[in-house]
Amino acid sequence: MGIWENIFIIVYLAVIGYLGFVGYKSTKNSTDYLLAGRNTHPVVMSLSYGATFISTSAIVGFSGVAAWLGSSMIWLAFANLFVGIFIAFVVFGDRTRRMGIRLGAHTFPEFLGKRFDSKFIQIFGGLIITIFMPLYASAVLIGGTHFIASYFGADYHLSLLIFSIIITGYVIAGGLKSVMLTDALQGAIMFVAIVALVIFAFNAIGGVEELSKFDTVWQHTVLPLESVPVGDFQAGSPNLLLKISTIWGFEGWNKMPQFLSDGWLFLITSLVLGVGIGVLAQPQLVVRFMTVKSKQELNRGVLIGGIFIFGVMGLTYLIGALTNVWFYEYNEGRNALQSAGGVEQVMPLFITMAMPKWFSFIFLFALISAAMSTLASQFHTMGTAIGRDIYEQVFKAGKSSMFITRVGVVVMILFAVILSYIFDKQPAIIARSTAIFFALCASVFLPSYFGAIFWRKITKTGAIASMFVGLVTSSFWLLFVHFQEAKALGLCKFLFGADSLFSGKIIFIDALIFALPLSTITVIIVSLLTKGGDELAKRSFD
Amino acid sequence: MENFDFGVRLSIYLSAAALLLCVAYGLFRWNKDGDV
Repeated sequence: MGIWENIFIIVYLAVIGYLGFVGYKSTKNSTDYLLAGRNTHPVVMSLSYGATFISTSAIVGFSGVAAWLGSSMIWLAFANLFVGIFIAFVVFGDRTRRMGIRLGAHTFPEFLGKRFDSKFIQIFGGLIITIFMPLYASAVLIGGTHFIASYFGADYHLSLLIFSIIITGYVIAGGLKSVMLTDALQGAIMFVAIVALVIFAFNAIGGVEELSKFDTVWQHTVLPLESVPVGDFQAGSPNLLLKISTIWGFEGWNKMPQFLSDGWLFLITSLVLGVGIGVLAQPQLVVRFMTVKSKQELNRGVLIGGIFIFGVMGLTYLIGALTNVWFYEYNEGRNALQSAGGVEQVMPLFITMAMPKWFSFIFLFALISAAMSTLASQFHTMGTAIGRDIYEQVFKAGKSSMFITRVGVVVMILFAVILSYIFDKQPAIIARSTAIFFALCASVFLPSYFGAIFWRKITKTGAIASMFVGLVTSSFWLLFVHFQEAKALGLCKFLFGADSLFSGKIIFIDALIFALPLSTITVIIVSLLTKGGDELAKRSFD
Repeated sequence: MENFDFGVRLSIYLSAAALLLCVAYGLFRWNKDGDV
């Protein structure tokens, strides 16, 4: 490792430490610790929102999926931009902020609990976060640690420990103030690195005119696989993945899969809608709306967040698909997947082979920043869930909220680190944990959250019934139907001897597609049949 | 653009439109709604 790399690491850690200290010095009470004092700068808020949204797996994993399945992944970039930024900030943002102030809510479960005057809802929301978010956090932790360990040649377990301790330090010290300040720095690093990657990548590939080679590369590297029986491929091999993509209805990296084919259903329901809609009910993101003092900050955040997400997500997917052309030209006629050996390895190999050596180091820091920013927010959200939403509500300990939350953060970080040791050798479950958390949050929280800020007649009973239906439906679908989660979790195989209870196209449809409409219908019907909505609305809206 | 089929082209156009929408909204409302 060269002297410049050492200097860069020291400066990076020093700045992170300084921002953590700034957060610590300005944290005086529970509102500072839980909501960054409700006066966050719009640049910090929007970069923090974007950096929390995008983890290492989103950059490396989704760009690898784009290398495998093609540019149709750009639909996810559209969903991220339009739903994840515009709809989230403009439709949900200010109503959440205003109602959060009126209700004196400091966390997402507390927001729902106070809106419906229900301790049960607050504790239930806290439990959903406490049970399911650690697995999502350990997925990000494992991803970030593997990059650090492989780049520096360090021991995986030692890297995991040091990585966790650094994040724990500033999350415990300065709460959400430290988290958002460091998020903003890390978001800026991610944005600059990805924009540089796009410039270098187009330069390496040979410019926009090289897009015309998509068809040639597909015909030479994928079409010959169509005549080979599936049984002839080695399990998990890149050629098997490419063969599966043709069976699923994909016809090229510059084309959409056939309409309503297995691949189309997977792409649109699991990736575009699952991630695109799921983001609206992510507790760690909803809280960001409550950290600003007026709607003006949210207005400005739309512009900053939009540019950030377009730069980091949209361009990454396009580059992911384009790597097929570069590898074909410079790696003996193989496409990206055949060169790298797997979806997750495509972008790291492309960076190593096609980019200047110094850029590999910069890109590594972009990936570490992506992991750290997501993890810090997850740790903070999990800590507030177990501290404020569960412990304080159950034991009525209302006076030392900051201390209880800090203890909660430590407990949940330890839990996530232990999970990272346990599940490191079971990548199938970890790979699906993000999708599981997104589907669950959307199905359980979104109808009640939307109703809470828009519908005066929504009742406590309606909200509880909707959350219950969302949890049961999405859990059933994830455990027993959807081809990826049901197979990874293994309960269906254990009980019934098959990876899924169903067969055919239905197993490619995401849990969200069934669970979200059902929980939405439930909240409407039950609220119309029960009373009490108007009284709750008076103190929330007026 | 002619290298992509209609579905992918549509996603690129819509992504660009969503970006423009975010930028335009942010610029036009940059100094509005400041009253707490």
